[in-house]
Amino acid sequence: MSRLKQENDIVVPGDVVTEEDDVRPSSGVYTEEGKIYSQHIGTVKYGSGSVRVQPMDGRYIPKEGDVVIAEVTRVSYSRWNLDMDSPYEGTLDISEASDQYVDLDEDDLTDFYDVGDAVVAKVTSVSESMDVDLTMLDDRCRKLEEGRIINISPHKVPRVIGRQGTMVQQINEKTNCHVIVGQNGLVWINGENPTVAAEAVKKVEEEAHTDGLTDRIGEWIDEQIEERGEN
Amino acid sequence: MADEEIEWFDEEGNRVDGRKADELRETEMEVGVLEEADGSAMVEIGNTRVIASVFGPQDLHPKHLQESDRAVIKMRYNMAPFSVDDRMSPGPNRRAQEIELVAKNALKPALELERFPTAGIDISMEVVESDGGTRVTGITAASLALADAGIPMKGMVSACAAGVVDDTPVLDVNGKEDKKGNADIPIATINRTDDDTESTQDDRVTLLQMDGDLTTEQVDECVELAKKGCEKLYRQQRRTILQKYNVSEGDQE
Amino acid sequence: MKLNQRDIKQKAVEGVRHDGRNLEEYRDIEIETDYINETSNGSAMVSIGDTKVLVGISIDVEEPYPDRPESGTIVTNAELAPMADRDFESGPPREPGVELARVVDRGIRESEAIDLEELCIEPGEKVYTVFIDVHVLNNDGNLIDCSSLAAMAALKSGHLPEYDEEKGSLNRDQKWKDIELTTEPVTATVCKINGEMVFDTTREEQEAQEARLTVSIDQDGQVVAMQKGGTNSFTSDEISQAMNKVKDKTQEFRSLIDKSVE
Repeated sequence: MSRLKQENDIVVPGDVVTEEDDVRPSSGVYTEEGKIYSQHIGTVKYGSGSVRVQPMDGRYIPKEGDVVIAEVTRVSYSRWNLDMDSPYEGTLDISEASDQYVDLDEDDLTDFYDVGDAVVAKVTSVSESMDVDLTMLDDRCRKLEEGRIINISPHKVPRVIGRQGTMVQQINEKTNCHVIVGQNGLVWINGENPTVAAEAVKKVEEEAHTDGLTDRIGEWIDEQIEERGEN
Repeated sequence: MADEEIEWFDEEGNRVDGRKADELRETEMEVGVLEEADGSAMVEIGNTRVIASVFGPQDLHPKHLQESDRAVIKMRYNMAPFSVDDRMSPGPNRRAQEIELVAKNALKPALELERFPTAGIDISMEVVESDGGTRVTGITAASLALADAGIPMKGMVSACAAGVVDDTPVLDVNGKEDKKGNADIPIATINRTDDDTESTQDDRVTLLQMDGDLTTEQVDECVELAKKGCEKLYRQQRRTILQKYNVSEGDQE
Repeated sequence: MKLNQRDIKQKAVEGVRHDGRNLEEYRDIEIETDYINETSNGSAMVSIGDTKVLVGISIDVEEPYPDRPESGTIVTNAELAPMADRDFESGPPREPGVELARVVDRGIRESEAIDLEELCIEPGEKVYTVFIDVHVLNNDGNLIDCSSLAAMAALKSGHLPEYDEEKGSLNRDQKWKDIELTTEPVTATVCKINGEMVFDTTREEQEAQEARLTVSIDQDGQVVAMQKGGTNSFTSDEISQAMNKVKDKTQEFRSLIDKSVE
């Protein structure tokens, strides 16, 4: 019985990761006849007694507890539909948009959020048939008024945020911007040097699987700001 | 040169393009060639070049096409007008529709579609240059594109065609051999691997078509030949992907 | 995203774009001719930034139109391949595809870049038909300029096969004659975003535009074709401004095409 792939090895769909029988298959892998195979192009990660493959890329599938950036696509009588750049839409009910009393016959829901508005929202539940419920009643939730939104792979979000937020913090400080990274891969950027911040985020995404990234990104940003500081 | 005059094999057993009977044409692969698509790849085998793209999983419309427990695949196969000598008028045709169906069935068994209930996955194969083997080249490219898009797969699908020319089974028929040869047998297989250097150990054929006039022994021979071709292509698919992330095969021990 | 549209409009007035370019700057342009080796009579793969277009030239022999017995024909077709954009669907060319084909065609036809009489094989009986097939592979805006560039590069590096009288067909295996161009029209599009004139818009910037103006100019600086697109308007001053800005751009484009064909 052997462990064929080590921590952080890159694998391709159909590669055997390990044949050990004391390792439990987690996400991104499947088992057949005692062997654990990768389902993705991705990185092998071992946990305590388990193994998973972290995919390089893939579309966002909503998960309970995720804080995401989304855009309102439709306003109905008592709720809104939101696009999270996912195959699955999110629904925000009026009861999750305001803790004040709202008279549905008097008040217009568009006073809160209208079609085209961008928000930071939280996923409260995902049903088996992929009905996704959202809430705005969380400290981290808000409507986004200015700035821009760019797109990265949802699988690179942890890297862009960094351990305890260190990567995104560095980007914020050096570019004098406010960057909010949604778990769905949508990233909101607003501030003094948004173009450099956006490029830094994209750079982290591209080089996510390499070492020494934090320092390299820091240096790169410093260079860019010097060359072409936007303000 | 009239058909009867074509010498399919010279005295040294070389085919019209200099290959031996069991040789694949020169193959180039690239993964991640288009930005808008969720996944993409280009595969060039000899003078046949196909670009494949994948969008998905994504919202599927109209709603009645959705399946409550899995993603639905839509396959498109199209030949660009300039991909053949005699310009092909754009528009759907029955050959394309058939290819779409068999290609979809060649890839489906390798995909974990239950992960995405009600969603859709759109796969597209554009033939930009055609010289025999466009459907198998498309399938090989589509598999790379699906992996590039992060769609969970059991293994990589590769495809290759064998044929019979001058009563001899040959691997990877080119355009001339396809037109005048005695048979065309495209095959696709799902491939997996235990480690970077060992041969694949799977025997799952997901595409098999045949047209021609052969004995059963000849068919067996052709299938074995094509399977070998599929394995070579699979190894190249793996190399291509790993190279993209700067990993050489055998690096990771 | 609507938020981005608002930001793009605001920044346009400050002369700033999301990717750091100034309003008149083009993204990196790459031209590869002879992309298709065997089956077409000329080809070019062109990318402007992430926008990628492949043009293939196919030559055929047909009967001329009865009212123009000594003229060859040009047929331009554009395919917005579904792989180019999540929002493109399979099917017959819709409005954008048809408009793209006609705008690319107009620049070439009106400038008389191809001498149609040179394409005559036998008056009243046989003429060459030049098919220009535009295949959009990746859409990140400015399809018109990218397609026009690709069409010109493909034609410039393209060739005519010889018509074999005896066989009554084309000798497709041999490159008999270069496709000769009498002039090289260059096409550039300007978009109005929040009142500002912006060149080479990305897909997102395109969504923020009020209107666009495409201008084709031949080697002598003559305006040979124009097309206004988009749902809003230009003032006549803006039109004049746009035309002149495009004229200035054309030299840059010409040297790019020349370099690629070398």
